[in-house]
Amino acid sequence: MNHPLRSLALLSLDGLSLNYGTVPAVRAVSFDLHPGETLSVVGESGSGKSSLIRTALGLVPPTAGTVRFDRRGLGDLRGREAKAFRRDAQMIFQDPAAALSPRMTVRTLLTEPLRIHGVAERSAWPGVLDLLRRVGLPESVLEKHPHQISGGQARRVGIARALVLRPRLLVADEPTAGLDLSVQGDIVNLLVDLQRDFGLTILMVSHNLDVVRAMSDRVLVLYLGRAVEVGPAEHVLNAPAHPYTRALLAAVPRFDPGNRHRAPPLPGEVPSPRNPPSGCAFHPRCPLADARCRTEEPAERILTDGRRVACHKPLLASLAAA
Amino acid sequence: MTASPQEAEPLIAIRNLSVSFATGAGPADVLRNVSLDLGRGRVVGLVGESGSGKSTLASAIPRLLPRNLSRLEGSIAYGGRDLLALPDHELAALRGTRFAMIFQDPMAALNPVFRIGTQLVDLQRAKRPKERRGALLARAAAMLARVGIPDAERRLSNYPHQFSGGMRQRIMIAAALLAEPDLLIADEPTTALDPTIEGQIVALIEELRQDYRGTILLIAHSLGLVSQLCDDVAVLYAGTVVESGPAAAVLGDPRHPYTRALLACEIGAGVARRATLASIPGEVPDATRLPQGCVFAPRCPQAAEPCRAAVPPLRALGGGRSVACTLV
Amino acid sequence: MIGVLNRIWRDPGGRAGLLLVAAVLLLGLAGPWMVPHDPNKLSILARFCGPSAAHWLGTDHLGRDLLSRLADGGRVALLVALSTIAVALAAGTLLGIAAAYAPPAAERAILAVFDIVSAFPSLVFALAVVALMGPGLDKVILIVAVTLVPHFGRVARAQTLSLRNSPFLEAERVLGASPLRIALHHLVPNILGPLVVLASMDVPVVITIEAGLSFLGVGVPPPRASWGTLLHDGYITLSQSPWPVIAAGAVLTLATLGFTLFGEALRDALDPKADPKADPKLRTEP
Repeated sequence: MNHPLRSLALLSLDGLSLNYGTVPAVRAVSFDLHPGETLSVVGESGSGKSSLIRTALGLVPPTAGTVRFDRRGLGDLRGREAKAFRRDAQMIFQDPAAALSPRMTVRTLLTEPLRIHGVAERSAWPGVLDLLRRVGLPESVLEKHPHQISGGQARRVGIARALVLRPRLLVADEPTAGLDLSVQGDIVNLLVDLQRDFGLTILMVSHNLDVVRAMSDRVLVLYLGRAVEVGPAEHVLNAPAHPYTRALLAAVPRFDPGNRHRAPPLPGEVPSPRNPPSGCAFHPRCPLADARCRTEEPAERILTDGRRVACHKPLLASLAAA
Repeated sequence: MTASPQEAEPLIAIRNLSVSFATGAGPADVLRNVSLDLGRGRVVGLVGESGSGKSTLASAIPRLLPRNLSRLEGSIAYGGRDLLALPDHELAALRGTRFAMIFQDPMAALNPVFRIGTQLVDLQRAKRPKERRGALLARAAAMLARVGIPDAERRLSNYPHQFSGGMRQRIMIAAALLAEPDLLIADEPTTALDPTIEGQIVALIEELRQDYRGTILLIAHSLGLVSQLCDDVAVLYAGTVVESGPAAAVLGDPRHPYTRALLACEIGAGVARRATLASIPGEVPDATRLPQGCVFAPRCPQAAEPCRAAVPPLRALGGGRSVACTLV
Repeated sequence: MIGVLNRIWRDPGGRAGLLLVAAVLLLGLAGPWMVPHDPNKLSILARFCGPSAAHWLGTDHLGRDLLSRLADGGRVALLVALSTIAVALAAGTLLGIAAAYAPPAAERAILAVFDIVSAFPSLVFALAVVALMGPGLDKVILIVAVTLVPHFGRVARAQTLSLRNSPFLEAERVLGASPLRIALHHLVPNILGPLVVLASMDVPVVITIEAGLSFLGVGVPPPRASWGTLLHDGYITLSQSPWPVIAAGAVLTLATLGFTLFGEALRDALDPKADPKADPKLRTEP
């Protein structure tokens, strides 16, 4: 905990677990997110991605473990400090239109954060207009209601709204979900530019591994609530160590005209967290599973390139020697 | 029709199909002069973004169009008849026997209050009115097993909500195939699924090609999916087919500026972190206010005077390819 | 607001409702200055007159001008209806939202109270209270309001439950908005539509309850006019003149009909899906 790097982390999760009743959704996840960094959480539906980011944002209290923001535990924040955290950590939502209060105009939606935090609107308004231009929206959207703008515009309003308070941490939940291919690149470029200009730290959740590849410094692979592989993006995505990471990467139908080569698909589905498999949770779907995987839950081990993997038989045996 | 003599006659030949809907903002021209052949036994991919009209094109074949339809012109030839001119009852008889559809959300197509077995039996009734229920149930069980549903016989007595999303999509595929249709229309069948499950469905469709010889019309927005599954592809933009032909040719060597721009947006595995990604500036035009001339001209980097003057017709390039661009 | 009224006006039933509601409001609000006579002025010589130039609707058994008494009764009816519904709407919305957010035990307790209250027929409940505490307008308002609270509370709770996990409410939490701010600024405006419709459709119910209580002599005490007492007095003296019953009955019927039609049209007008022009965006991809 007194590791020198750790103290520099903006967001730090330590053994974070979340249960809904008796059903575990997140199991002992730890990671540090450093200022200016982008960490992406990937995994199938039901892997606990949403629960993880909601707990990290303090929207749900964890069952066990801690979330630290700027070295302060979220559970200890009270009053003014808690409110300051709400200013510093913002989120963009998967369904951007649904995340905008339906009876408000875009203008009200953009000034609402200022009012909540008692920022003088008059002095902040030029900054809001500037932000509106930055995200590529005309001023004519200001008087419109959420149902009168397109999905792409709603997403841009959501991004502008998250940045009005100049947060330090931005949590992006599926920022390109449902977007057409022709605008997907635009949104990714915008997020990368805004990250640079505003010094943002980004925690992202995405199904789209191509978008993850284009944006992330580090990747965390979640399976049934557990971080099965965490490490630098280029290592994890180019040479996965966990068989599940490899299967996720192979599942994306590659655009390769005239060349149909498909890896055999990953069999089965994510098991129910009510009744998780014994041993390694991935063993029923894993091509490499043996007797040990079925009985003994693998401990996390650190590979020589710095990534953490929870697997008895990691794919990169040479790196596992350490 | 206009198919060249050396090619076999297509299963379905769509010619100059135009579809408009009445809206509060005036008539919306959702499809304009669309011509497309769906070859026998081919997997045809329809590629296009939101608002391109790809779903409307797919629903126009079985004539399942919304009620605010204000214009329906052109022809859809199938088995020597024009589907657009067919009386309603004759068309209804074709749906579910000759044409089958699967959708993005299988839950919407399955009745929540009936057992899967009952629904799969009812679907077969149109084709086999006299067969015993037991025999139809056995066929349903065999088909469920074929599409990879474990313990199929027992699962026939389950209700739709007792299956996962991926399993429901398998059931929909089984239901569609039980009808032994000439044409299977699959409207974004994997969009709502996880990539891993999508991979399973893709592998399943590929595998089924071994014994299902009908034509598949696949609507997809993932270019990866289309390049992996389709024999032919048609690219739609704002209600117009801008390019069509064999998938390997169109996707490997795109000729229309829109196809090129769209393919450039695909993020490859080789993308560098924080590299600037490609996108297409501007927006798809509103179907109630389409531009003069080529619909893509306002966003086209190469657009010139003639592009804005007249709508470029879809021209054959040889090799089964067609493109609608004055510059090619 | 203007848009909603416009949409109501376009619907034939809504137009009739709107006109009737406007007439009742006019009669109740401006009536005392418009009508020709003091509603309580007796004139023994002019008892049971039929309609005439002096008395448009005739007079009652004490020679009081019926039109003036109906206008005065309309004031009472409106006062009772609007204040009752305002109280019930406010309390019901508050309790409904509280129930939706409360821990399960508290939610069950609130719902149990709703069930108990709505199990009592309001008229019987009112009679019991009046028997204990004596008649009076304030008691009528209180009794009817209490019996209507569960009505609004249940709808408010159901609406809140359906919105409770909406992304837009979570987005406000992420921004740091207080629970009170979220409830007032974001939740209430989005659940109010169905409640307002319910309220407008409850107006005739309250008017008839008030008339019923007054008819039974436990509502508005004499000499104050009320549609219920007018009906009652007219009923007793029906053999001498039909006019009091006809006039009071017609006004009560028209007011009830007007508010019901208005409420139904309001419900349709507030439903964005029912209006083709509400969403001009074209849906080409189903």
